[in-house]
Amino acid sequence: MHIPDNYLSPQTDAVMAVAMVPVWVHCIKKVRATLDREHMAFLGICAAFSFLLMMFNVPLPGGTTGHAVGGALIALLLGPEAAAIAVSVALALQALLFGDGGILSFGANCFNMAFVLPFAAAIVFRALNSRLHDKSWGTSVSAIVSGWVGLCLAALCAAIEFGIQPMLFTNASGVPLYCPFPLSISVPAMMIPHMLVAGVVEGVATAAIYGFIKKTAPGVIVGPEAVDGQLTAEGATAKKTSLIPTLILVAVLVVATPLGLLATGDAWGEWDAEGAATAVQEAGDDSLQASVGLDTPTFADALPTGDYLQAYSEEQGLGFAGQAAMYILSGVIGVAVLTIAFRLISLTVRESGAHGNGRAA
Amino acid sequence: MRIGKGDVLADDTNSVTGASGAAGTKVAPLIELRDVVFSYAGHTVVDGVSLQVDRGELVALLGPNGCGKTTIMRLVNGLELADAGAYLFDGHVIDAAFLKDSVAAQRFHQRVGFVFQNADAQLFCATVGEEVAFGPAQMGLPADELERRVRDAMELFRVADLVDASPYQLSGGQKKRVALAAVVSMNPDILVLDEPTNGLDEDSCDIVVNFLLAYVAAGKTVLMSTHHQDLVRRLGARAIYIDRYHHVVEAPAPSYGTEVGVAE
Amino acid sequence: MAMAELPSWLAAEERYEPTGAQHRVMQKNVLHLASLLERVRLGGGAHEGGSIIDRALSCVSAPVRLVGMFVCVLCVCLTQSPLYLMLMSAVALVLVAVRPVRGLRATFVPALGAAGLAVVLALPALLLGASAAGAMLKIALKTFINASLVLGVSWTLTWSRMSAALKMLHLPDEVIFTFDMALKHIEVLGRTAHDLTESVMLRSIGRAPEGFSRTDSVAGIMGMTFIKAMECSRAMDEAMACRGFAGVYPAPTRAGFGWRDAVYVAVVVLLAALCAVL
Repeated sequence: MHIPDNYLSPQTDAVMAVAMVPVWVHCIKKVRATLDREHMAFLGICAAFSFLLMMFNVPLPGGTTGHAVGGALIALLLGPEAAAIAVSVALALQALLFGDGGILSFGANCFNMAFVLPFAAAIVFRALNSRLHDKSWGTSVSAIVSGWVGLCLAALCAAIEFGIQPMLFTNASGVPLYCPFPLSISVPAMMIPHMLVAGVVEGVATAAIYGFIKKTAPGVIVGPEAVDGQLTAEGATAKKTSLIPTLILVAVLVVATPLGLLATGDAWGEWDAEGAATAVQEAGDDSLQASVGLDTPTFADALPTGDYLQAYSEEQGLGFAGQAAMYILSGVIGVAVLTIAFRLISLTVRESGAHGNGRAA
Repeated sequence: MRIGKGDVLADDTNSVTGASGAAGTKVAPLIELRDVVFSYAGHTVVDGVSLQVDRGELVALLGPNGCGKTTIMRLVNGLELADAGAYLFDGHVIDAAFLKDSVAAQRFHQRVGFVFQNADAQLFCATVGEEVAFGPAQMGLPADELERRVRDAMELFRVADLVDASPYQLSGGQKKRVALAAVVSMNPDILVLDEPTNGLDEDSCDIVVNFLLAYVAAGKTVLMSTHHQDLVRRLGARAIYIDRYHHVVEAPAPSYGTEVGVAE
Repeated sequence: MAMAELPSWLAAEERYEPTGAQHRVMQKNVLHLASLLERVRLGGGAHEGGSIIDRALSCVSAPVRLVGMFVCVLCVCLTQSPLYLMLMSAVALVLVAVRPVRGLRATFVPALGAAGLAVVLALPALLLGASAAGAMLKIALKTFINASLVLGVSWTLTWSRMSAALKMLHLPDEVIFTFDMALKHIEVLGRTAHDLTESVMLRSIGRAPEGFSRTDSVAGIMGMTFIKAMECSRAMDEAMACRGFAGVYPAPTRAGFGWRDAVYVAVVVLLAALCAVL
């Protein structure tokens, strides 16, 4: 669901970026006020989860691929504001380091995946879990549904952002300047695969990982369940259980990322210029015209590490093993950078528990 | 008790066991440690210590080396912050938040005068005169008042003739007395002294003892650590003994000297 | 007993209200010095301050680590392959990421600063076009990797073993002696400076008066520390002479080449081979 550069007009990019500014400000304030040092460091692990989940491409009906985002998971673990920050940082890292998602369209990507997704998921989860939490399957089902709803809403927003481009931004002869597909195509093209597959993946991943962390390190959860007082008594007052199982899960995910390479084909809306032209042709609709603005060189084209080093491995003609190694390397770097960034940020928040010993700010 | 001709005394409550304000109301102790725990590098140096020092008291901390006396003094000064438990100074909780406020912190440091065990670590000005003037010079006093205080403080400790000397040239005893003068010139409410008579000869010791007696008689408070039991007796101090397991055993001054084992 | 005669101002309670002039500088200095001292005393990452990887690395003998570090830095400087750079940055980043927070800050932030400085110095490259900008970023990345590797070594090498390492590398005795004395005295003088700074902080109770600036107190601290350094070195010289030191620095007995050293060397050789191949 990462929107590359050139697919949205600069006006759209600007509007989305401006819309995100108050969201970021509010979320940063909320997170600084509510998360202590230990949870801030855990937020780094969550950002790493999100980063890795976005590397697992799954094949979608229609020949494209998609991926889960993990925003719902973080919303359940640490609250939607923290999820917004974590996913934004992960997206920034992907855009800057690996060319996944455009620089100018960063605001739009954050709006979809870092704002709509986690907040929608949190709202749905609260509504469902308050009714279902006493059943043994209740929380899992709430988590699955909230993940699904969140991702689908995010996909809808992305589809709308794509779809309005040919309506609003054409050149003098009516040729679209940016995304060539109108709403009538973009919405079903994005929504159907996400509703059928990617959303389910997001929901299941959310439920599975949330359940895993709830069992192994419940003390770390400060999201909706904790706020609503629904974490079981043992869970809420448990001594801080170890995060080692979580870290092992991260390591396993890193090593497993090459599975995401098995799904060939680009995600809908994430093509390069050639791919877009092909897609227009394949759509077989005479009213569609190929866009002229997709050839503009982007930052992502210039990155040697573009597309998680896949660009490099194509250049070098590496076999699958080589590609997998590149992919894993990118995963390692992403996880390491996110961990470092959030742990450094965690130094600026108050210490956890009773050890508020810092004299200076 | 000779205080001085025609001088006005502050409210004097030279009581050893407790202080009361006017009409018998209970006044908050000046220093109160409640179950304070402090660890350093994995070792617990202060282990659940609770103690109280009321206004006008002269309290001595005694104990073997390494029992945590200096750490307690550093906690009292705000140089260290407790890992657990609470430290209250005159009813205010002294923690990181309190010390972040410049006004509160400065007032606190003016009211608590700390003399280090090692006078070398305390003196940093070019001359003795500047050293003694450093504290009061920041209090916004008029120039003549400042001069008067500096002169009085130096005379109290017989270092007036060293006013232009450099601290590093002085002998150990002289340095200690200069350090005392430099802290006393701020007119703190409580003097916290870490082994005040270490390295002092008999004459210097007498000067310090006489000063402390007068100081407490005037209603001020003193908390000191020492190894010397005869000093405790001379001063009539209330002794608090800390054992090598970092626990506090309180004992009144006259019966000090009996061997007390592990408490709590 | 003849009690002293207290002046009137001393017998009265002082009602001083500070004006709230900022004095955080001293507090921050104290904290900074204290943390430096703790690092020296506790040996940084070689013990509890380090991650599992750090502690494993600190078991490798010091001269082997110094040589290995040099080889890694050389490889990073020489490589032109973006893949090798990615690999080495992954190695450097993982080493940093698993460290406890204090070690992370101590090794990552200065490395980032060094990379930032490299970018600033190479900014004119932007005027030369896209490929020069790419070279600029490459330089910044290499600087970051090298700086974090070197800082990692200093973080995990116990300082006392550094002198032994230098002797094994056959440096002149005078150099080793100076280095060793400097290391030992960092703790002593650091403690002096720290205590003096605390003393200033405790007596910074208001606004500095006319003709008296805060820098005077900092100058005083540095002056006293310098004097202490002189006294210390004189005393150390006399103490060593009294115990028979004649100017020759004793070589520590060789610890031998253990399995940990072998593993470390193997890893370094692998990295060097990859550099050559890629």
